[in-house]
Amino acid sequence: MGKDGRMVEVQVKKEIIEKVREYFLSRGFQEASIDELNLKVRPDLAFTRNGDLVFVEVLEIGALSDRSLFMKALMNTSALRDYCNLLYIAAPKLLAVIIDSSTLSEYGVGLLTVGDKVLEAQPATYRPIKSVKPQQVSIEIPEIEELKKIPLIEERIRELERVIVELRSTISNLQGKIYSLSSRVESLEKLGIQVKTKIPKPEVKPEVTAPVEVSSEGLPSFLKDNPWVSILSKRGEERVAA
Amino acid sequence: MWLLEGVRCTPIRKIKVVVDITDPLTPALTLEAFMKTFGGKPDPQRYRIVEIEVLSCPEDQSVVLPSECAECPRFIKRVRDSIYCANRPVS
Repeated sequence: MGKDGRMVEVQVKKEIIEKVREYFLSRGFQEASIDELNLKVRPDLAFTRNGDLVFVEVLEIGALSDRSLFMKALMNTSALRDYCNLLYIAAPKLLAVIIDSSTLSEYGVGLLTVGDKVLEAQPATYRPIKSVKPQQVSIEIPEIEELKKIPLIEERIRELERVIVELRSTISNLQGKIYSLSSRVESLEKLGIQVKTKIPKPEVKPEVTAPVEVSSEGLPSFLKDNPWVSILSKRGEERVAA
Repeated sequence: MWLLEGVRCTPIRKIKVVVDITDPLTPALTLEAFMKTFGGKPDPQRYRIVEIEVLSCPEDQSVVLPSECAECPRFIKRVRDSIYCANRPVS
């Protein structure tokens, strides 16, 4: 279908909408703002009367040749069923002759045939609007499961912090002890060095090769040429050196 | 309302017609007549089966297509394979 054909369809739809609007307004309905209804699927027309909400979905004449248009209108109608009290399909008479109104009746959907006038060929069944309660989401989101673990993780962190504080104090104590020990060791090492420096090395005296001259004059005979005399004479010197 | 004014229910007849696409002068036969005459189903390369819906208008008893009912001011609705129309114009 060409551009002109599409324009004709749009014009025909506008005419249908205007006729349906007049039909409902003449019966005491008030037109409702579709934007305020905040629906994902929007009806072509919405009316209210005495607190009742009426939706109208208009079938385009193009649905005769385009099945997708026809299906789209029917699916829209089906999606709107729970959000209004009365639901109608408005169809031009040429489409109405191929629509089985008994099927619409089974689902409580009314049919308005639109010719020169609008005729309620099939009345809609009144139904209360279903209050759409938010479903309890039972989907397990891994991020949420992780978030549930946060208090446990915090408790563990606090415990670890306590342990770290204890370890720090223990380490500082140990450091103090190590410092004192090292200072003691150093002082002991110093003392040891001093002791070592104070101990004189034993003097290696040259061996007396020369025989000790002992005047043997005036000595008794048992002392003459006695080796013990030289040994005993050195004893006093050793003690002084020690 | 139209319910009080009398409603006529006219059944729609569905006729399956065999059409020869190679020879437009061949008379169209119903599927039953074709099968009875030629002893088998029509060859798809030469024939096409078309289903036509017709009904007898209660106003003048002429045979009409349901789509023609759309032009009638007495037309109300279609229920399954029947056309409901009023005694008096309703739209």
